[in-house]
Amino acid sequence: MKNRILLSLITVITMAFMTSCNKPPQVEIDAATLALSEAKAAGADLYLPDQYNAVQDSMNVAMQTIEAKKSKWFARYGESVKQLEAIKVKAGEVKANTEVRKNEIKLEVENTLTEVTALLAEDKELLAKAPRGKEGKEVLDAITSELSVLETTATEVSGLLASGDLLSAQSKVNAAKEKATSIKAELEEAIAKKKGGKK
Amino acid sequence: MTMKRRTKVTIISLSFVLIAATVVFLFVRMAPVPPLEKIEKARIAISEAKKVRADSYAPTLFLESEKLYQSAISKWKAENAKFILKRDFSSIDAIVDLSVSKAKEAKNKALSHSSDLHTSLGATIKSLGRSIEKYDDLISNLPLRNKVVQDYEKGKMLLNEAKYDYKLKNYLVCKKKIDGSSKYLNDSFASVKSYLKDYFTNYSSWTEWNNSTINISKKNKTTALIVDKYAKKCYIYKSGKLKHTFDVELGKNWIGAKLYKGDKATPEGVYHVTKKLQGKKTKYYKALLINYPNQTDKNRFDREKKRGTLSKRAQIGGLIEIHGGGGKGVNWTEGCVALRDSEMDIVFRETDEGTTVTIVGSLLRLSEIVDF
Repeated sequence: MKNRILLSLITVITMAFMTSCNKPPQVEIDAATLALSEAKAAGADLYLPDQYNAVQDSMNVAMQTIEAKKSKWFARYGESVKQLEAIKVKAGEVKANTEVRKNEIKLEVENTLTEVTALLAEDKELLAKAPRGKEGKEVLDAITSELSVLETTATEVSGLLASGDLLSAQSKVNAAKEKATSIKAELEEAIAKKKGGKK
Repeated sequence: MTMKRRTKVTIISLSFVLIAATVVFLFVRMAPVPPLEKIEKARIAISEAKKVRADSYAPTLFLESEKLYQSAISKWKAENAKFILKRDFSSIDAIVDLSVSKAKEAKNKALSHSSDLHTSLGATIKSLGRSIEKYDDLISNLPLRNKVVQDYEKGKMLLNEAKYDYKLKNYLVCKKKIDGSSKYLNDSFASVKSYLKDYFTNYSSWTEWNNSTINISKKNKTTALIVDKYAKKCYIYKSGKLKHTFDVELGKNWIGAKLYKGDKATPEGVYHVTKKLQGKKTKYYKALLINYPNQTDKNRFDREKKRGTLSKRAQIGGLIEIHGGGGKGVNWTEGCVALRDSEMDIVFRETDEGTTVTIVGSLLRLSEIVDF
């Protein structure tokens, strides 16, 4: 009787040994996937594409490793768990970095927009002082048109900022600043020439 | 339990374990192996393609490659869910092979597309810049519709934005802006072209009037005034020889013939001085009243009225003069020709009632003025 019990026990243990394997770390997989999705939702793929792609690639590596282990008889997921936890942490960092980058761009755009607004006001003041002699009026009319387009651009930048399209706002506001600065230089040169002529 | 019996049990147990271990060993050896290397190759190929922004520059190929990779992983997962000896990874091979080739193709296409965009967008930016240089003066000098000027300014602004994105190598965003800029700029350029081409269809008449005026001046040894509206110049001929050249200012809508009262256009045609005015008789220093409208102007006015292009209330206008008060640097008159007072003195001195005043659109062909 005792022998039968011993044999059954050995059989059960052997069968369990043969058929059993660890389960994949689904909780960690889900957590890493969620962290990656959150980073993407924060705009990491747009604002920090290199960082985001690196984490996404690490996730692909981790998933491949898990499947490779699943293909074997005796899977041990300890390493994969560590890998996934690191991915989760990294994805969280990328998300945080994205928010920082977005805030930096937002601040930069807001500051540049303030500069553009100030430049527009200066340009208008200079326009009033600019000489209207021969050919001057046509040039000033053209500048008035340019300033009107710049004002529209400044409004568009505010709209893009409000809608969170920071990259479009950034290129628009920088182009506007360049234009407003060149108009200012053009007007200052015309006024300086006029003063020089009076001497 | 006897010693003999214990030994028997131990032998049976060990045999059982040995058999089990052999079975496991055989299962492990016989179990199908997934194409790990190939899958890894596909992952690396996709990662490399993404580094060169293949997802943007070769999106179709890149997405196909990614889908194939994901499909391989899904199949792998599905096979892994089966009993170890029943797994079959053979179909994954072909899928990952295709994924690798698509990813590599996407990478190459992305590199070549971004390089092509770098070259073509750079060239377009330069070309649009050159066009702007060419059209800048035209657009600021011609009495164009507000929309044309606004389109032109919007096009210039978008071009500036495109230049910024070009510097940042955001070629696709840059291209979008270049396309928008080109549309605005080309629309405004097309308007300017057609506007000037329409205007210059009268060039042969202008040449004829000019030649005939100079010939008559030469033949009759008389003085004649020729006004070139496009060049904003007034020429004084005496006995067929050019004696003076002065700058002039015209009506605000100086392009085209004068059609009706209040259109702020300067008339075109062959006229003569009907009255010389100075002192309190004119508010512009000195003036030469000309015989606008002449018969040609009257005929045209009647024709346009009949056609309905002019309102029934429209009047033909009059009191067109060559007068002083100029030098403002802008076309400001109601349709008259304005000169600086000092130059008006000379014109006034050199002319009499009856002096021919020929006003033409341009003495130069359009092709001599601007190279479209």
